[in-house]
Amino acid sequence: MTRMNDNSRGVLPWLLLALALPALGCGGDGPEPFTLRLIADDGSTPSGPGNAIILAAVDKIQVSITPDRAMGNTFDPLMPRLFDGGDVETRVSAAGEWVITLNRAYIEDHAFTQGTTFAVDVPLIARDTTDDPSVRDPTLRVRFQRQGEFIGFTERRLVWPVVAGEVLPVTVFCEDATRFQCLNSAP
Amino acid sequence: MRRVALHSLSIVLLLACIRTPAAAQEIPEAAAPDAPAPPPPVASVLIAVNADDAEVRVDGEPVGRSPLAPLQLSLGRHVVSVSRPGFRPGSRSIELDADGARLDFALEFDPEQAAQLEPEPEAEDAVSGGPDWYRRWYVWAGAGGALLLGAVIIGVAASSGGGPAGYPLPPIQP
Repeated sequence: MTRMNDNSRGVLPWLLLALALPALGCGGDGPEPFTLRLIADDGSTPSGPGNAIILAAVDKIQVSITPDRAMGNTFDPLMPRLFDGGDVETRVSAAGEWVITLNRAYIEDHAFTQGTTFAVDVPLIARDTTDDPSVRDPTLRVRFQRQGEFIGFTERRLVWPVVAGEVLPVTVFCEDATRFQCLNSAP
Repeated sequence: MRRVALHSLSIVLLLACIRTPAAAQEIPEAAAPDAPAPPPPVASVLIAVNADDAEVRVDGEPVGRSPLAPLQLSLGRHVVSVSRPGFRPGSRSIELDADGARLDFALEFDPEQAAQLEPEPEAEDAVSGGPDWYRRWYVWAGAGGALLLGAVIIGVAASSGGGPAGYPLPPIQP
């Protein structure tokens, strides 16, 4: 009996360690992301066209980051990669811009109410944190799509490198030409 | 009468001639001065001990360890002693005759002596260079199973959870 107790005493720490390691893996969030918060314009933004975008009208969101080609900046070629069961795709286009595409399932799962409109967070893990002066701030473009048509759009400079933990609000506007599509809730 | 006596003498001589070879063989054997002495009479002794691996001595000489096959001992007086670590030793004297004998020894367990002989588990571990639990297969089987379970949990969490913490954004090449 004494021997058995000794064995149990020796085995227990190992079993606990073996169980603790996976627990650590589950609990860890990994590196802190930089988050793009894509906010649909509710029509009240003074600088915007004054057209609201409803969540049901958006079936795809495309975010692209285009380096400053004049400075010779570019992304290395990257084959398309799928995440979240195919709901998210990342790639580097032939033009050298990094593109992330979020489909309808991702939008529905991640959209949340922001004031009188909705927003979708896109967390990004940046591998480039060096402040290289030869790298200029790239251009950020966000496009809301409905049935293949761009109904919302915004473009701005993205301060590079992005900062981990930072949440960057980006308002997406609906132009007059697509204002009806931006309110179309039909599937 | 003289003829009868002559015939009788002839028969006696003839018989004597016939027996002569056998008699010639027996005489040297009986008369050989360096012939080995006949073996002393022995008898079988069975020594039974209630504990195996006990050392058995007869007249102080070790004859083996229990369990023992029957021993052949010369007739007469012998002293049989039995000992084993952890038990109180036993000794007995027998007068062995031609019928043989059987000796049963019931050694008594001696807790104090056994305690002195058996090392503490920690001491044993120290002698062997470490604890022996890690040699147990079920220890490693349990640890491996736990790790496998953890890997499965991580895999399930990664596939069914909220996705990665973030989508990798590659560096811009200058």
